[in-house]
Amino acid sequence: MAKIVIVDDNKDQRGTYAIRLKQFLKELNSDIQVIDVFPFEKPSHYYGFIDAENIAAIIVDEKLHNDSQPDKLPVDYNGSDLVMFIRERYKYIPFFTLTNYPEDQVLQEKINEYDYIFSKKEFTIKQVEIIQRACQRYLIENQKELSMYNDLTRKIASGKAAGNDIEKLKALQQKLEIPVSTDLKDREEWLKEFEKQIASLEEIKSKLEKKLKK
Amino acid sequence: MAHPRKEIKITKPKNLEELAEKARQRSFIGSKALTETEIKEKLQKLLQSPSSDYRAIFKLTKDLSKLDKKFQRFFVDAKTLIHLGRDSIKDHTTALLELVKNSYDADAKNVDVDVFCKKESDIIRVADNGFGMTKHDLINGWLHIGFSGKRASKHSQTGRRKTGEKGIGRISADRLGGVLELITKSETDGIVGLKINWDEFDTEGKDISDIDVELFYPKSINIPNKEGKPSETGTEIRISKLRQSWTISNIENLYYELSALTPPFNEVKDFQVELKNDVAPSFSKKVNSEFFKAAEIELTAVYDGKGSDIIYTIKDKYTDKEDVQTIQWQNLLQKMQKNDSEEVSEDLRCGPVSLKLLFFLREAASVAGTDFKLSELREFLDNNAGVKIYRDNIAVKPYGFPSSQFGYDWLELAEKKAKDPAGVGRGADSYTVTPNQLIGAIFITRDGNLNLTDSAAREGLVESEAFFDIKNLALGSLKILETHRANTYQKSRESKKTSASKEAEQIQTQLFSVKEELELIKTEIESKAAKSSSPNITRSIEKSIERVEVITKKADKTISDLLNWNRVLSGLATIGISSAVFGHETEGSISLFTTATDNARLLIRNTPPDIDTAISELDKALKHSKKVAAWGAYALTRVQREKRSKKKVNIKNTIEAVVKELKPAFEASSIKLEVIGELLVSKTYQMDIESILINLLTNSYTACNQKPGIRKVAIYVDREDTKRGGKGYYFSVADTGHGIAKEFQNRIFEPLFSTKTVATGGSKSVGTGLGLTIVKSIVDDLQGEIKIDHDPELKGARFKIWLPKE
Repeated sequence: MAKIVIVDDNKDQRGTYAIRLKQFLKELNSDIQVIDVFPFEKPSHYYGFIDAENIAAIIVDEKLHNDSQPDKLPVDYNGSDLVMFIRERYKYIPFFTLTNYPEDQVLQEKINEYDYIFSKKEFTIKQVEIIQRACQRYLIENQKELSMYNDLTRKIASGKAAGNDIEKLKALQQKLEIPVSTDLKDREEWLKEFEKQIASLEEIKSKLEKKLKK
Repeated sequence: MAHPRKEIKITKPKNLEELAEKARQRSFIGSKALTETEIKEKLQKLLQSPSSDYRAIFKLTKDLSKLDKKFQRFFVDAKTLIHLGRDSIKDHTTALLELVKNSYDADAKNVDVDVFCKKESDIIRVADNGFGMTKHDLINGWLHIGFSGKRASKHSQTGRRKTGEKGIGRISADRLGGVLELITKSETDGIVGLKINWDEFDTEGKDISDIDVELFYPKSINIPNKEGKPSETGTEIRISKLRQSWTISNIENLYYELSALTPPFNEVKDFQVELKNDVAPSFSKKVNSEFFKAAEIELTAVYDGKGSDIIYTIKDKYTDKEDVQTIQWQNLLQKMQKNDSEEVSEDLRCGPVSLKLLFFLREAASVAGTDFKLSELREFLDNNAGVKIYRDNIAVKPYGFPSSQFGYDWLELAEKKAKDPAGVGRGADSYTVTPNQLIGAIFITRDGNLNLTDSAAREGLVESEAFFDIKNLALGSLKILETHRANTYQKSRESKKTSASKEAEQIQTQLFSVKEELELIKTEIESKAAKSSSPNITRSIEKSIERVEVITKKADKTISDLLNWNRVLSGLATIGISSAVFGHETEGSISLFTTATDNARLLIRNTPPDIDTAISELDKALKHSKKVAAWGAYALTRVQREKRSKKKVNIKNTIEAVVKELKPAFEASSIKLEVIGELLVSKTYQMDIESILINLLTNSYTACNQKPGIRKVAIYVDREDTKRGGKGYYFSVADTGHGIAKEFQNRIFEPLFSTKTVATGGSKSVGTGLGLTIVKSIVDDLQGEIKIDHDPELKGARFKIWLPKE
């Protein structure tokens, strides 16, 4: 199930806005779930989280560095730092900021990185509709490409790759931000290389045996 | 070659017909119509004639000499002179200056320069009380183009080094107007004058000797007085039929060029120029340099031409002391951080040089105690700023001339400043002056500095090794001036500052001493009056004393009202600063309050209603509404009236009360606030203690937020007496922030200085630069002390405030 995540260091704030988001999504008959988290210690920790939780949109507060939790210390990044980091891998994931200061200079400088900058004072069903539409677009696009990706990998693995299938797969890997393997070859070539490596292992094994006998 | 012969009669012309005939005959002579014998015959006749026709004799002689078979001579076209005069002089201001320079060379003490061009009879007049010229000087010197007596004798009678050598200054008069009249009076001769019509020179093919220069002998001469008495000698030049109209800016330029013609330093104070004109009347005045009194720093450097020692003298307005030091050339280069690859020499090759640099500020304080206004000083600096080179006390163009495009900033000070625009507060290493703050003079002489020669392009010196030495010497001296300014800057700021309470105390002491003295006088008079039985005097003294008492009380009240007012303003400013920093906390609470309330409403409307979540949302709303209310109370309690009067205050309790109010904001940022120390009571102003503490805590809050991890602010309160036995106490505020960089520790108390100039990283606030200024001013008023260091435990900044215990 696709989820929207709210990242805010203030427990009260993220709880209240998560309730509000859930309420409006319900009114819009959306089955997208809402979760809220305290900022992770390092921005890189979001990568695994986005994939594992099937995140379809991220909503962050600009100020993330203030609050702490009993087991967690304040972090040293803000929403505008996080968006830059996330965009390095997830170029198209819907990313919103929910802040008390939508006119903040730093935020405005990075306006192009965000899908929208929302004010906490004006967070109504209208804003939630925008978020929902963005999530849907992202999910459809992502699903179509993912199934195409699955088909292609299966073809190549079973040695049935034809024409420019490998090139297509490479392009999809890039778009879906899946780490690109630079030595992607067809099955036969791969098997040959594998056998070559087994042969060299055999060679090492016989050398060792000879030494041991001595 | 055959030429037609014609018999001509040479007689003195009587009328126009004869004149025309004579001209015709001459043309024939000019085209060699006469044989050698014929010319000789004519010449003989002319010489025997009782009325000498000098013009005809000269012409025949010239023609005769052209028949010389062995030697021939050049003859010069009159137009050549015009070319020499007009084309070698840049503009009419320069042309007029050349004439004034001649007056300087003639040892004049005073020069009148008049430019009247608005009336029909336009005129330029330069009159001096120099040594004048004899008729012989005029004919054999002045009329001898290219001759310069200055070449034969480089110094004037009074020891001035003459300014021109080329002997063409006089032709510059042609640049100014069509007709020149020169009247001169020397010690040995009477008054003699000559008149030139320059337009006659402007005819193609006319020989220079064909032009008549009329001599005349006037009865009087109009020249400036010498030392208050009519001068016995002098020269007056009057130029009419002006070639160019003068604008206000021309006159202004002339004025400043005249003021710069001779050094504005003591060296040449005996040369005064008075300008009169009808274009810009405000410049009709004595050309003066009084502005130099406004200099903040005066630096003099002297190099005697031998060895490598340079003697420096520095004076400044702040310390009023003269500092003399000797610096070696190599050390000076080191100060300038010249590297080996640059044009530097082991020894100075420029010869003896002296240098003066005057540094000005363009501030109102600079003109205090002088006769001129700030706007005048600024205008003067705009027109005169720059480091000029004076050879034999006359400026060498273009160095340091504001009107010169490349010469003005020949030391490239503006470029240096643009690369590093550090202000004086940043210290001697990076601070540089701007060219418009500096007036300088480098004195050289033509005889002493033979390696500094004129460039062929007429303006400026050849950029030889000696020239680069001069340039480096100027830059090195400037570095010394900049270092001095940076070092004295801090001291001057401190010396200027007297705390308001100290000042009030001084006024009160003075009033009290006046009262005491009056009391003494009263007693003395009373004893005398008792003897002489005159009670009237005693009564009037008593009245005076009463009046002083009333005034003292009024002054007391005014001062205490003002101090109280100051206290309120500091308190209000403190609220403003802290609100700006903690404001987001309130903002967050307000938005949460409204959103949570609305959520509760929506949740209750659901079917079935989600009562538990709705109640939890209402709890949140309530919690945050209390936070908002607490902030309102915080602002209101800061300036309560009872906090503004001096009374016994429990210091620790006051600190704890402030901490309690600020705690929610600190906790929202995960900052632990801790107060450690013992209870102590002192008579003081509660508002002052609170203002100090809030400002320090506000800074700590921002500092903590800039770092992740554990955040803590610790406040210590304790008794602490001074080493001299002064009773007191302290409270310190330490945090886990980044601390204060050493280079900023001297500057953080300056108004408007802030290290929080950009809202980056954790901190979203920009500093006002007022918080610590308020802290310092309160601590000074309370006669306390501030110490800044790094807290050994929390690793951030620690501010320790010591205050006397009353």
